[in-house]
Amino acid sequence: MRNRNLKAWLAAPVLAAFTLGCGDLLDVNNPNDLVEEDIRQEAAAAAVVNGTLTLVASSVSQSWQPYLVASDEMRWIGSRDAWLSLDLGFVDDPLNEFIDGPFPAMGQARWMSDEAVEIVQGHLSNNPSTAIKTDLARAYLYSGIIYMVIGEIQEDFAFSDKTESGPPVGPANMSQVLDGAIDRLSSAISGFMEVGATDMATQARALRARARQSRAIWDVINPSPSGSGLAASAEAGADASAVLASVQPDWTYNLTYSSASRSNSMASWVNDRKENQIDLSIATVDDQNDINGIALQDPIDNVDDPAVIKWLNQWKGGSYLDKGGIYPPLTVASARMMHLILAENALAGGDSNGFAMHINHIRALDGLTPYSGQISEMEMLQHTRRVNVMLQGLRLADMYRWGIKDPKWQGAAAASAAPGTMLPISIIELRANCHLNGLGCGG
Amino acid sequence: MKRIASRTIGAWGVALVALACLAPGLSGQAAGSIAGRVTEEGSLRPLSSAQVFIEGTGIGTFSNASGDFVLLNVPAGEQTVVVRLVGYRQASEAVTVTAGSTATLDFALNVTAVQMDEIVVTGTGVATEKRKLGHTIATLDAAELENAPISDFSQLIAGREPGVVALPSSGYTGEGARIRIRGSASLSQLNEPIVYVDGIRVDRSAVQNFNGQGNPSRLDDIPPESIERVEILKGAAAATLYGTEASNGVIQIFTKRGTVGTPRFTFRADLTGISVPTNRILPVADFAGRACASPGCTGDGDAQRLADAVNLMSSRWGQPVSPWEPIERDLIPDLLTTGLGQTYSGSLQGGSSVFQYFASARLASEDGPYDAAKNFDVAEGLDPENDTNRRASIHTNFTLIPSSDLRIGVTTLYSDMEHHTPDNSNNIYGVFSSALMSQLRLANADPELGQINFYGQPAFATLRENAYQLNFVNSQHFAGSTNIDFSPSEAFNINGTFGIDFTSDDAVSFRPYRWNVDGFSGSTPDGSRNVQENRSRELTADIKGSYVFNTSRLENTLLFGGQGFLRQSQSAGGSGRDFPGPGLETLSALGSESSFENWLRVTQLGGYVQDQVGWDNWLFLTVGARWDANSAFGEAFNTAFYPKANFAIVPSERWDSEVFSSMRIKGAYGTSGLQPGAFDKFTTFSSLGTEVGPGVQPSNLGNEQLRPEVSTELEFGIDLGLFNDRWSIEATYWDRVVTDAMVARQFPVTGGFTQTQLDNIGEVTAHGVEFGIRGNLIQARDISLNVFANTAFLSEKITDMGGAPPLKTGGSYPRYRNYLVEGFTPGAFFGAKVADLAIPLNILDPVDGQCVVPTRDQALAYFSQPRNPNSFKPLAIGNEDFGVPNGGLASHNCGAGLLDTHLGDPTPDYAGSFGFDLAFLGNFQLTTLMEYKFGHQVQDLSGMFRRANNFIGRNTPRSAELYATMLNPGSSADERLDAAVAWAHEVEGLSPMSGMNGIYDADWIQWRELSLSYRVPATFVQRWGFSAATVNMGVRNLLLFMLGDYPGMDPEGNVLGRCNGGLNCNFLNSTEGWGIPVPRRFTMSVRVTF
Repeated sequence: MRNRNLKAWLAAPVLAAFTLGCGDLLDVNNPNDLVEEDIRQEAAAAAVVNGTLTLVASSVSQSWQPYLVASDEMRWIGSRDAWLSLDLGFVDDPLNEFIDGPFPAMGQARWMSDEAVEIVQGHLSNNPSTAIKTDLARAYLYSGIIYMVIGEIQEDFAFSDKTESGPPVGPANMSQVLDGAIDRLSSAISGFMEVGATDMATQARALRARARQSRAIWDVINPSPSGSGLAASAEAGADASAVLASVQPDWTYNLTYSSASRSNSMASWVNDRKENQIDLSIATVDDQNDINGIALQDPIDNVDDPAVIKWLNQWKGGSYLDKGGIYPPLTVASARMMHLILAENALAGGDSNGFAMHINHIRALDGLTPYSGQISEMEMLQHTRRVNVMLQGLRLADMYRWGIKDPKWQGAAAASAAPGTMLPISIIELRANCHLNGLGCGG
Repeated sequence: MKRIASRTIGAWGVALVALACLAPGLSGQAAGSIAGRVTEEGSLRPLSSAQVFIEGTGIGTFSNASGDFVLLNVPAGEQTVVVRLVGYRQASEAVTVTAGSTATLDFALNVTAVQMDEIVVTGTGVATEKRKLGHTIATLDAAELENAPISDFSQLIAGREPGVVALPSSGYTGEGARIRIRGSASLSQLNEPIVYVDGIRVDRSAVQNFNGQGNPSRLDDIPPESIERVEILKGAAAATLYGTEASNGVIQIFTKRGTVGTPRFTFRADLTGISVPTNRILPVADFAGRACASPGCTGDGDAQRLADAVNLMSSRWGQPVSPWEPIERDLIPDLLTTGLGQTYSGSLQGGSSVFQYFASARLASEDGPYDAAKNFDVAEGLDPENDTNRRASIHTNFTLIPSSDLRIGVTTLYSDMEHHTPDNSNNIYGVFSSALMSQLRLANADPELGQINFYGQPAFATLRENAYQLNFVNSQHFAGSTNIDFSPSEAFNINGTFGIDFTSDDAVSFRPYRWNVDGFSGSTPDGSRNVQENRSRELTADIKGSYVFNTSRLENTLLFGGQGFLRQSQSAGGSGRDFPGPGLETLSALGSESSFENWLRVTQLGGYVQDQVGWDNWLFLTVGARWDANSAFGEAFNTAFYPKANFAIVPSERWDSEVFSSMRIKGAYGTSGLQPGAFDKFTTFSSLGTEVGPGVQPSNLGNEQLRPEVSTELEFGIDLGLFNDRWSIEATYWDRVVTDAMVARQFPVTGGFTQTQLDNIGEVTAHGVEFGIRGNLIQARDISLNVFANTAFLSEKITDMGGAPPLKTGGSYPRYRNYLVEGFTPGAFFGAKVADLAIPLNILDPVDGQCVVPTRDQALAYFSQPRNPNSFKPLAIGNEDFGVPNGGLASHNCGAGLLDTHLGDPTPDYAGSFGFDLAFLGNFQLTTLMEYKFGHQVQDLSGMFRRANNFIGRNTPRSAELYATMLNPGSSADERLDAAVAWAHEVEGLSPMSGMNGIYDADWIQWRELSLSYRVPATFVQRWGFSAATVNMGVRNLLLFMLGDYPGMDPEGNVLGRCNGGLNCNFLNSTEGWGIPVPRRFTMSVRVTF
């Protein structure tokens, strides 16, 4: 018995050893993800910039959707009636789930784009290689795109860093975001030129043309729409001319989507889920709300507008009569857009010939009768711009600056009552950002 | 997969037969035997499953359904036979056994409602009588539930113990329930109790399909027929020795074991009919005037649209249709039928004093009540989905006793399941949901056009198309453990348990090529497939020692031990779309696809020590502590320390009273914790596919300071035995504070990291009272009536969110209204509430941003023409902050705080059950259980859609009536205004008035169980070679009594079923959405023993 007790007491240290001797088991690594120091290695530079591209493209496809539904380009046909609020012109509601839903993606894409610039910039001094320079230029390009989109569609925005809340820019200062886009795109252009990537430099230049014109539009519609609604920018014109000199007549620069990256969120909502559809002023639909015809006619030839057909075909991935998929590209710059910039500059400057020349460049692409004064120049510009930059995140601003109201808008809605109102900082940021939630940032 | 399962079952079957043959040989040392019968004193009712054993030996058995028992191989001489059965006083009697002969010994047990002498081990480390414990430990004896209409563990545990609730979400076959004990201890971590089976930690997860509802529970892998008893620790005061992860309580399941004796076979067959109560499902209503483009049908082309709609409706539904008079149809019952379930189980047990065995096998198959496909011609090459569940399980338990100081036990449990569920839950492609959203005016069954849109789905897909989406899961579960118990002396004991729990499941969501047979849906018309495979393995090592020191008045038990858990899980899968042609069903056949893989490992190491001192068997004091280290703790945090102390005073040991026959006063203090997720501490970037090569994106913000949240619980209570223990009253008050509560904090999304990040900044308090009474009302020959009632009061509050913003379930999705807000119950409902005004309509332009209340004249002027409710919204109560009214009004374009009104709490204040057990005419037994929940609100989410949604709703009779009145050009302004006011008070909801007219008082009583069993007389069954036979008829969910004003289909329904963590899993509660109501189950069963 004594011997057994002795054995038993000896077992106690074994228990202790079992408990205490397994410290290594507690060191568990996470093989699923990278930690911060991993992405700051030079080898990860391209991946950081590539990730930025997907985040930017994804964000654009999410953020444009409420903007498009608030305009007369799309309408609600589904189950979730927060879209109806947008359809009715309530564009300023931070609680709207379709304003709130895309907002984090926009915040993330912006932060990641600046992070990418900073990270790759840091590698440049150690390794000024072509690859790093190209990655840096790409980072500037993608950053420029997201800054441009934020400036075009947001009423306000904040720039935070991880847990540190950033103060809101303020509606009166949102032009600074567009200025930031222009600066980044300028850096992209020079970067691409330095490494001989002229095609990418052209893409960046086309986007800078768009950003510069959007900057001019911003001045027209803020604090409220004023004047003729024309937005002229000589710098945008210069960029547009340079682009047109180096691209094919119907060139486009698209954000692309595939199963390798992410789906086009707008297409998922429209083609797949059928929550929204192209507006009835643009296309007709059958009993199942599928598109079965073109409603918007060319004002001169009175035919289904070929530009509408072009963009809807692209949207549906074939024919606009198809149900379409979830990976159509989104065009963010095009030769048509460049001509429109130049046409508007010409019109604003009283150059009717120049205006007609650029309009007719576009019409020629679609085989339409040249414009020669059949309708007023302003009508021609408005129609040509509506159909040639369709589904490209510009329509609501155009409606504001030209006083166009969607018949669906209710009188009390911000789009009607306060033209120029863009999408607000949404509730998720309003509650989490100490500059916005009323709790203050002290302590 | 079926072939593998079949082979496995076959192999186990051969092994069982071999063991059955071997057993008599192992038990061949008998000197004599003892036979007898166990009955209930007074009624003389035979008692089954009573534990009969000879004191001081390993010889024991259980009584059969006739109450008979036989003890074999009993050494000759005087022996003391002891009989134990839950609900009865223990009895013992001496008998002299003669070699080669059988002694007879019958027992008549006295009913007792007091359970203080019950032996428990969970949370105590060593086998301990309840009387010595200062904390609550609940026990469920499976033998008592043998005749109850239950088919799985989720049903077994539901409604039996105050403070323990099972939360179903729908009536889909095979669905498991969420389990909550004393509410929710955590704001961020899974609030399910941890689960042990025979000493090892087992997977408690949901077997998830690709929808929110219909998820089976891993706990249901354990066949009810294999369960001997269940012990439940309700909180930290009792679960301290389980350390980190035990804040939400502990459930330990003890499986049946072998007994000494000849082989005893038991066979049971159950046949179940399953029927969904449809009495609370409102018919679908619609009117032709909705087809017009403008209110009143005055717009371009509206006359034609109206005529077309009238023609289509009258043709489809076979009745005359007037433009503004709604018609109704009961469509939902069309999707349902009477389901059928079959269960066959058999067990074998026996053994000698050296080796005892128990083996059982079970096959359960169920084809549930959902049957949408019966309404359609099946499309060629496509199979509609069903709700079916098939489970096969095998359980073995072997005990080897090579010497008097050593006992070795080996337990295995294997389960194989195949589970099918139609698309469901909050899902536009759900079959049931699409039926609920039917629009009669759009339905078309014209043979010339084919069965296009038979039920009138307005968007997304037709009901027939939805029926062709397949969702299924195949799953396996193995748990194996070895327990070695070594007692080198009477005082000293070492016990080690080592085991592995392995689970594997493969879930598939599959749309076949051209599943959109009606050409309606635009979603992946060429098919799609999602596949997810999950593997989880958890190793348990638990070694403990105890030393008992007794004097004449003092008893002391010292316990110490160490535990290690190593959990590793992997998931991998892929998804894609567009098959090139029919017949293809694999990921690799898809036109585009993507894949993923995740891995995680969590290690927990802990040690504990505890000492229990008893004085004169009436005063007991226990103190103890647990230390834990965990791989999920942040780098800045090492180990967690959890202390405990409790006392129990049994003053009835000091008096002798028949009225107050026993009493225990108890009190306990204890702490336990919950750890963060495996990798929550790291700042991470995840991989991201791009168009130009591999990429990365921000993922987890990280927090190196992360530590476990600590739950501290105090308990005080009294257990009373009255009238010679025929009645018992148990009352417990408990109070819990969770400090360092991990809050899933949302940081500014413009900072780049959009996911929430855990931070130990919160505090949650809770308290409650648990009260139970049970007793014997009648005790006479041939009749015995036992009654019981219990209730649990629960109050929970978030006292600190650490400055984090309120968190909402469902992210930006506005229809889910459960919030985490400081000062309120976790998951409290917030949303819009219509203002208490005569005309609460926002029809006038705001002034300076403030809403304007119309006069009646202004309102009549507005409604002088037909109006669509889209064109106006109600005026709601404005709020300063969550739950703080600002005295103003708010609507979608005026005022402030529209959605911040506190609309209720999803957690019942009171939950419990009551019922009785009546034995009569010797062989009959009638038992029943009623479960109730009072003092909570439920959101009728699918009802809100049906009432208010412009496209897929407004199809309840009331909303169609009001809608028609407002649109009808023949209505007067007064009629339209009255309809609009009623619309504001009854119908309007969803965005932007989320929560309005959707959240209701939902007190209910469910007649949960009713069963009548008949024990076939022994003389009769013995002719067939059986020793006992019982026939049982039972009904589950017989009748629902709604006491509140809840208008939904089933107040127990929830849009989310059993799940595996996250904000929604924890707090998206009491939100009914598109599930099949919990069905009635009529079961007939036969159980024989031989």
